[in-house]
Amino acid sequence: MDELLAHHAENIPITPDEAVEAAAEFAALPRRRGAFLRLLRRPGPAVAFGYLVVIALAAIFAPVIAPYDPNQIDVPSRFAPPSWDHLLGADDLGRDLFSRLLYGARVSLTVSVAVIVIATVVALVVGLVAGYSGGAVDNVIMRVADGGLSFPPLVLALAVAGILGPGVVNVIAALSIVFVFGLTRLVRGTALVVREEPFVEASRAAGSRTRRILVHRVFPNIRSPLIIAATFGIAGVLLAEAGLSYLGLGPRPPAASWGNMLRNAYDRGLYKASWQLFVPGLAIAFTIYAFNVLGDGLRDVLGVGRSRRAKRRERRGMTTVERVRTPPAAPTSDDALLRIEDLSVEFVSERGASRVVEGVSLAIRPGETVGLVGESGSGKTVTSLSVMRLVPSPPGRIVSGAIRFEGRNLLDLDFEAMREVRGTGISMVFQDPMTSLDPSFTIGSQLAEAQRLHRKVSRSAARARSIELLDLVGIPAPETRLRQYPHQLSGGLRQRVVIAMALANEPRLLIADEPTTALDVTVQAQILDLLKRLQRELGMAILFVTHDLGVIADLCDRVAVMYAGQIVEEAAVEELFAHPRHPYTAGLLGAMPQVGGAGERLTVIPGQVPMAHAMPGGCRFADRCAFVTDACRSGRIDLVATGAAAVRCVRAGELTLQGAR
Amino acid sequence: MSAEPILRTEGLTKHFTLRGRRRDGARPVLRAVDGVDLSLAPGTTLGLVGESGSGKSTLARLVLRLMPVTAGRVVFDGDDITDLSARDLRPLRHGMQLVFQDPYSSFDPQATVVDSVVEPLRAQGVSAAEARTRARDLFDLVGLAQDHLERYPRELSGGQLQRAGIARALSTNPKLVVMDEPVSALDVSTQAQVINLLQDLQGELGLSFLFIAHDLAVVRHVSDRIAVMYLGQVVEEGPAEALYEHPTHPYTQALLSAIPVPDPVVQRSRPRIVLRGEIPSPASPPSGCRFRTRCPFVMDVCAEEEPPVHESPDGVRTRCHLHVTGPTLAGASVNTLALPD
Ligand SMILES: Nc1ncnc2c1ncn2[C@@H]1O[C@H](COP(=O)(O)OP(=O)(O)O)[C@@H](O)[C@H]1O
Ligand SMILES: Nc1ncnc2c1ncn2[C@@H]1O[C@H](COP(=O)(O)OP(=O)(O)O)[C@@H](O)[C@H]1O
Ligand code: SF4
Ligand code: SF4
Ligand SMILES: [Mg+2]
Ligand SMILES: [Mg+2]
Repeated sequence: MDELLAHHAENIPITPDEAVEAAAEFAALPRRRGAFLRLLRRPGPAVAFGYLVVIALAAIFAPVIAPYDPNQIDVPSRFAPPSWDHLLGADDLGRDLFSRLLYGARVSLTVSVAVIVIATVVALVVGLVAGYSGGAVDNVIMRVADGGLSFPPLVLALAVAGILGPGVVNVIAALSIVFVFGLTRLVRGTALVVREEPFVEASRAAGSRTRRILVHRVFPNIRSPLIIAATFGIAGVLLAEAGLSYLGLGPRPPAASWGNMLRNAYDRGLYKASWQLFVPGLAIAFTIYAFNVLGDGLRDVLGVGRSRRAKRRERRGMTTVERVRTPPAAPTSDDALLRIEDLSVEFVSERGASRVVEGVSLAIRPGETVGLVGESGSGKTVTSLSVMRLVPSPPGRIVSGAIRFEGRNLLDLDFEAMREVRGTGISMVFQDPMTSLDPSFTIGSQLAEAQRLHRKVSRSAARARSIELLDLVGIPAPETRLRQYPHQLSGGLRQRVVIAMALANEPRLLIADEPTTALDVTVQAQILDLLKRLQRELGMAILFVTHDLGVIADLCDRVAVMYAGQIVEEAAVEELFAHPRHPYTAGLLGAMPQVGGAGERLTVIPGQVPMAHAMPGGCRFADRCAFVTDACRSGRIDLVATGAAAVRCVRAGELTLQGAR
Repeated sequence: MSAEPILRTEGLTKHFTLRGRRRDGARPVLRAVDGVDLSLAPGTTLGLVGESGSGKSTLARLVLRLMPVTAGRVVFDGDDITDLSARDLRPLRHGMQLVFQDPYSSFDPQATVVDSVVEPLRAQGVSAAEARTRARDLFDLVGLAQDHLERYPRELSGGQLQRAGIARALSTNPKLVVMDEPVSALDVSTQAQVINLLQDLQGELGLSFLFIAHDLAVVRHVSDRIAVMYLGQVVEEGPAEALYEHPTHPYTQALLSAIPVPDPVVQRSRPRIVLRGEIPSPASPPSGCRFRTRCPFVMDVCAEEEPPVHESPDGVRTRCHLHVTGPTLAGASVNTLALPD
């Protein structure tokens, strides 16, 4: 395993000229307005945007709206309170505060927008040159940016403004310098990520010129994070401008700016008319707040960072149960360890509820290995998560059925009782071991934690048991491994650790959801052998979820085949492979390329899985089935059991299908 | 007799220099691809297999010259392209294309599907209108409906988008298409559709494929010849049939034995080799034979000397001491050897 990051893309030096030209070309491209409209459909951002439009209009039309010249001194009106003559009162020189606020908005907003535009454009060019060229250029640029970022912004602004002296242009210059560092970092970081994207490599392989790649591939993907940062940035500039003015380094008095007004109110009016502070103060606060609300809204609408949030699995909470039909009665005697009956699960979204699991029934006896197989999206993961009540609610909810584990219906349990079942009764292993591992803790502490969750154990007892567990899952030198972090292990070792954690409390059932799908076949063979040995030694039952029939053939006693949210066939493993009874099962078997059967054409299942919201009535496989008749489409088709097997096909009795070759 | 190969590599090597320093002060070097000799005849498929980290993707990028070569040569259609600059490669790009593993990440999420599909054509200077007409034909060819053209990648299923990826690669009538795990991310039924499509297209258009996969069953299906890679080296190369029936390298044998056969009776009764451990880091490969840390047949000589390449009369090249020293196999299958212990 390599600790170092791999970069496939070679460094392609680009010059600032090229970056500027590319930026201009990108700016001239036609835009879609979808995101903006979606933003305005949200109440918060819509109000904030409306407020900002009003402020901007007020600033633009200040000469028309303002009742007075902002600098007109009128000594008799000194500290006049708000009245019809002076809407917001007057300051120490009798200047009308409302008029000054309007003119001040011109200065403050101009400064903010100018600073952000300048800083963004410079950051875009410099960040892109750094990120795309890499190497020494990148090193120098990033050293400078890091240097700039190591000062508190206001201190840096003060230093630059102190050198340049007060005045609007100098304030813009000073603040642009302050804000350019952070934005450069952002552009460079995003460019580094984007240029490693396979779609950028695809463009290079297509023979596209660097310029085209920048304009059509890199910029559009940098745009969203940059727009968001710039929106938050404006709020930052407003605050910094006020700060500088307050310290006497802003636009030269008597020119009105919100910062100058604040300073004036503080210096001259603090004791005589402290309310004057609120006039510029509230204007600044509201405007900053509005930009922040807008920035937050953009973040949601543009979907930046959403995926990361979605990745974090719900730690607390459990799937809600809202039955639309009564659960089946409990059987009087039951030899099953786990019995899922008539399970249906829905996801609710703006477009309504989509039922992704429909009437699933499945039983697992103690010590048995049952496979659940089907194409991606068929509902295997949702079914197995439902057993653990781990389907996130909302959007998910269980709408029918019962899940009986050792006689208890898991759908009736409260959170504490369910937490007890998870881990001690049933454990789960996922495709990506990092779902269950925390990158910032050692293997040892996570194994100990898994034990302590359910009972009191001393540190030394936990450690001894951890070593025993790692040994059980075939990890050599367990003592050393306890001190390591997940990133120090290979994918295969991580999956072994996760299995060890799952076994910590000796569950009677292990649910393994595609635990070998991400591994090489050689390592998959090791993990499958491990599971077989563990089952022999510990006698637990396994529900093994996979899309790979080869793995099923290797490991399972019984198989259930899922298609479009339903179980379509269930049988003992030899029986299912030798004599599949559902056309979908036979289709899957035929589609598998086999080492033995060389060169011959693969049989395909034509078409695609139907979408959950457009499920055909009758047989869900009808549109893809070679044996379809009218009877297949006329009404509900049940899973019909004969002995230990079951099949959901009206023609199962008459068809003879090709099994494994 | 045999035609000039469409693609030939000689001692092709790529070493990545890593960050940090070794104890002796030198920068650590990762030998991703280390002296690979391959040859692909026109109109045929060369399969490339090996565990992840064995250097398959790097080799793919090298033969397409998407990255500079450390040593060795790449000859494409008679032209030595080893040292060409990005600018000089551009006019040759239409002849060689790449299909990616993950269809979603290889399409720009911000662009319509057609925009990405016509990119190779546009890069060749074909007008937008003409490129679009061609895209329609290509969509017919790969079995996609025309209304998918204007969609965004996320609106297509994985299988549909992979067809679009194949359309993109075929847009410029290439001679060589390099496919880096083109079906690994697809479901069995979709995978079968795409594999059949590729075979049809090869027949119709006379394409040459370098087909990378970690699934030997898939590779067996599509390939005329197969090369097995381990830690940057090709350890066995030969006609697909021979390689499967009579593997001459212990690694090939182990890979074959690791694929679960979708038939419980066969799968549970056949002899299997489960390799120890996992592939070591190419930054510090084992001395002598790189496979020796996991090889069931390892001998003393394996740690000391790099195994020489043994070439058998039926065109199988293998890199293992078993064929020259030890119990000399001299090109025979390792299956004839009893597994130790
Ligand atoms: N959190 C979720 N929100 C909405 N839909 C979901 C969610 N999780 C899964 N689904 C949908 O449920 C269906 C079944 O998914 P899943 O059980 O993950 O399939 P499988 O594991 O068989 O590949 C899919 O159509 C999927 O899009
Ligand atoms: N740009 C790079 N810098 C450093 N190491 C790399 C780079 N690209 C690939 N590698 C390393 O080279 C080795 C081979 O990688 P790769 O060609 O992707 O293998 P495969 O495709 O067979 O999985 C791996 O160890 C990988 O980490
Ligand atoms: S019910 Fe009809 S359409 Fe469905 S699988 Fe059976 S034969 Fe095919
Ligand atoms: S050279 Fe030795 S270690 Fe390498 S594959 Fe052959 S027998 Fe095994
Ligand atoms: Mg799943
Ligand atoms: Mg790869």
